[in-house]
Amino acid sequence: MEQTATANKSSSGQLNIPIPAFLKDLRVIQAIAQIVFVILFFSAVAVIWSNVYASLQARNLLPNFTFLGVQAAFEITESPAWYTPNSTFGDAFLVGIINTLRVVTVGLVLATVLGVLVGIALLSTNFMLRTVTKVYVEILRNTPLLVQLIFWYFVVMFSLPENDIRVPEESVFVLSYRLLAYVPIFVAVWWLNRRLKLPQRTLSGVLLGAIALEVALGLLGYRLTLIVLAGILGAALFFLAVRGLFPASLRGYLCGGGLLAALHLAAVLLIEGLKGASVLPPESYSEIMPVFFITRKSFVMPELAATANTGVWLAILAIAIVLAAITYIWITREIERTGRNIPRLLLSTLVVVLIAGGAWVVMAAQPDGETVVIRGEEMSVTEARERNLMRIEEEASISTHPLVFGLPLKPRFRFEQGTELTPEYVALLVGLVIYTSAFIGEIVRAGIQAVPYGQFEAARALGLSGAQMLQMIVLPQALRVIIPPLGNQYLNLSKNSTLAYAIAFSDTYTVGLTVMNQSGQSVTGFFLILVVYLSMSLIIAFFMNIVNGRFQFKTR
Amino acid sequence: MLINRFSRVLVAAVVALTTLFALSGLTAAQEYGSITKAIMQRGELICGVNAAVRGFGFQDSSGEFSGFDVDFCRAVAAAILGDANKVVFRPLTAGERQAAIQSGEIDMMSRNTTATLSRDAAWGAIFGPTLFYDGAGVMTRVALGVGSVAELDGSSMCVQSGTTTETNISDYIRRLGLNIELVVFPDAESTWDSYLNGRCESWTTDKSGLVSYRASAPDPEEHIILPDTVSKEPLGPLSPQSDENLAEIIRWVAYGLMEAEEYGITSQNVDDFLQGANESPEAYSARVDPRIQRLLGQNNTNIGVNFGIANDFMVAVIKQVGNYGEIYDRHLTPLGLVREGSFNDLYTRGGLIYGWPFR
Ligand SMILES: N[C@@H](CCC(=O)N[C@@H](CS)C(=O)NCC(=O)O)C(=O)O
Repeated sequence: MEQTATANKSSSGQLNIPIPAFLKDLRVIQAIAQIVFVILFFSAVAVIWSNVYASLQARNLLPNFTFLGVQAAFEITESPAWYTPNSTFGDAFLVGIINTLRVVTVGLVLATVLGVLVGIALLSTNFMLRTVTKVYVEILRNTPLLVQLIFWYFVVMFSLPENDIRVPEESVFVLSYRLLAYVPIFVAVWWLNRRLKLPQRTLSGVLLGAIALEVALGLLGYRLTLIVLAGILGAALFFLAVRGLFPASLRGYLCGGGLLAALHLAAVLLIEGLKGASVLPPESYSEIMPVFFITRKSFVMPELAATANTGVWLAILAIAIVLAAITYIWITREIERTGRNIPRLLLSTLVVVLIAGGAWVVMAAQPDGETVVIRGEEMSVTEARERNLMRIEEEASISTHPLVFGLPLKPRFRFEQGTELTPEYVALLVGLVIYTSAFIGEIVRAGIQAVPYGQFEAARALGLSGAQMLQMIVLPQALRVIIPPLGNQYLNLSKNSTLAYAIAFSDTYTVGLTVMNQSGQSVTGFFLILVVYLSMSLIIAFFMNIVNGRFQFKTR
Repeated sequence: MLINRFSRVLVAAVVALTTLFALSGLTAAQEYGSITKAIMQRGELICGVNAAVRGFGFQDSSGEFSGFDVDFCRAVAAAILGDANKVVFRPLTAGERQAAIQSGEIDMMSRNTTATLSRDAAWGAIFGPTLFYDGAGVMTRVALGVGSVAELDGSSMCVQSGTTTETNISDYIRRLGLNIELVVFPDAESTWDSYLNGRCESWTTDKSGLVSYRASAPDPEEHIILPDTVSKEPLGPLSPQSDENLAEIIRWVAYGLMEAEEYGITSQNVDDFLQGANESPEAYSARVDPRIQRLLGQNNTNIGVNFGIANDFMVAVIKQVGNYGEIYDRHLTPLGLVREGSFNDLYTRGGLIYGWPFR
């Protein structure tokens, strides 16, 4: 003992206090540091809290939660039917949370889909597509989101058609049979392009052709002569291009553009023919199908309503889906056993379509009810139809269809029937999705580029197709890199949704501010808002961690 | 293991102790006159105003504030500091008001704010006298051919959040059993823009605000203010509850402005009512009404000293800002807000503007 003490003295020179051995233990030092930190932290919190508490007490405004049970007395633009001004502040908060979730959940899905497309386009070998996407990403990433939202709402939404339309006689939008025809046209071109050896850039040519055609029709109006001329000229160009007539740099564009104009003509002739045979309504608006309305006050879609048969049909649908799943699993086993390539997805989809569709047809074939009760008065359906009294609820009460659709109706100022989206919701959703898609696109691009090039070469050497290569080789490796930053973008999107405040969308933050304003409970209100966003972030992070865990390398 | 448990216990104890210590160690320094003293030391009055409503509180492109409410801030500055220009204006939107007054960021507010029971209780503020009797109204387009709010059934209405209007219009719609969609915006500018752009068929706020905004419309003739009066909106100044002294000064400046108009004292003639340097009390009393002597703090009457400010504070106020009628005529008459026959006329002419006596 004495020996060590003297040794201590001589080595340290001036200091003579012996340091107990356990204090030299790194773990102890760390523990002490942590304790000191905790003390400092909680003291700071306590000081701030007591300050707030004292000044609130002086104003007789101590935070409490009892106000959540008090009548809110204000209306919320976007609220479920159960919310009225008679509901409580707590209910109002709940409406805000529901609205936030409506934006965030839909936004996450759409931003992911769009972001992946952007990422793939950024890597495209097509110069035009790649450059346009790059510009898109740079513009979106380098301007503030608030500015973009204000643009979407106050510029884009307010340049939509005015609301002074009459429905169903007049319609603003848009979904014409002719525009619908582009979907089969694009599918047909894509299919042709795979089967025949069409020149390079034919697909770009098709897109450019469609844009040029729509611009021309937009400027000159819907003219049959124009469509016929373009179609004939297009067909000629297509054949000449396929024969290799034009310079190689132009050939693809001319081939694609020509093909589009020709197919477009075919579609228009088909539509006109169907109109002539009165399969499609022949009146002046048949170019436009009054189904989906866009005005600066709302976006309206047909409404779906349940009938007496809905439950039964949904049960049949569920059974069909179970059967399809069984089919899928069974075919998978067969493929593994025999090595034959059986189209399992197609077959199992067919199971669902046949069973559910068959049930629909059988139900729809039953005769509808003949009398209907309208405002307590019973009358025959024919009479109610004549007097224009049948709304979707009445149709649903007599129909044997599993579901009925109601087209939008607008008696005077607002749509009465139809599912509505407010421009505030649409602007916020579009703004958030487009903004976030730029970041996700960059993440996807980086993730795919992080896969070593040798992997692509190896996949090709194995003879995998493009889709197989993506699915089996590239994505599993890219996702490892993509998922952690993707989770960050999800968190960003959910928190950015509070910018709803600027464009009058009633999300948690906006409603929370109104609640605070009308109840005077700022501290409690902010606390509640904080809890909502914190929980949302934690839930998103939790799920992203699970997903992340599944895609990392399995190591032992 | 042991260290772990030990540190947890320690932390819990520390937190409990510090909280207790901090709570007991703090006394709120809020007493009679505290804010008034702070204003005098600072040499400036911080006043929360509107920046977006012409005639009441408006900030022009050069950054200058003007309006009826703005002039009341100037009057209070003149009373406390002797100079109507020693005011720092803090522009506030409707939603920001509560936090501004609760946090002590502003000394007082004069911003077309309605006095209500819940605000009185929840804002921690003392409301001063009503300076403008108003009511919420509804503006719509002439083209719709609508004659009352009931005919707007089924339409949309734009409204600003954080206002009494937001709840008053809900009450009114409930009372009439109407189905009107309310679209709520965070500030006056976006509410107005959205109405002009056709997002809503109508918009609602205090009628004074409607008149003021209509004047700035591209074509004012296209808009009408419906005859419905949705609610009572008594607009007046307010100040933090923690200084009763400041609230008293505000109250008496307001009544002083009304009294001055009642007795015909204006910024032009106020000097004629002052006691001359060599004028004897008898001669002065023979010349000037004793009520006016007291209002102006002349002839050894005891007025301002009761609140710790200059005895003749109303002289500075009237000289630099004018009386109630002068302020009204300067800002509200040009908007077309007719005073004759309205609640905002003097009680002697059948209105509700009635100053308490300077006794
Ligand atoms: N008197 C009502 C309404 C006052 C109010 O804030 N009116 C609006 C519309 S005229 C306003 O001044 N807005 C200006 C802004 O928020 O910038 C109240 O006290 O709540």
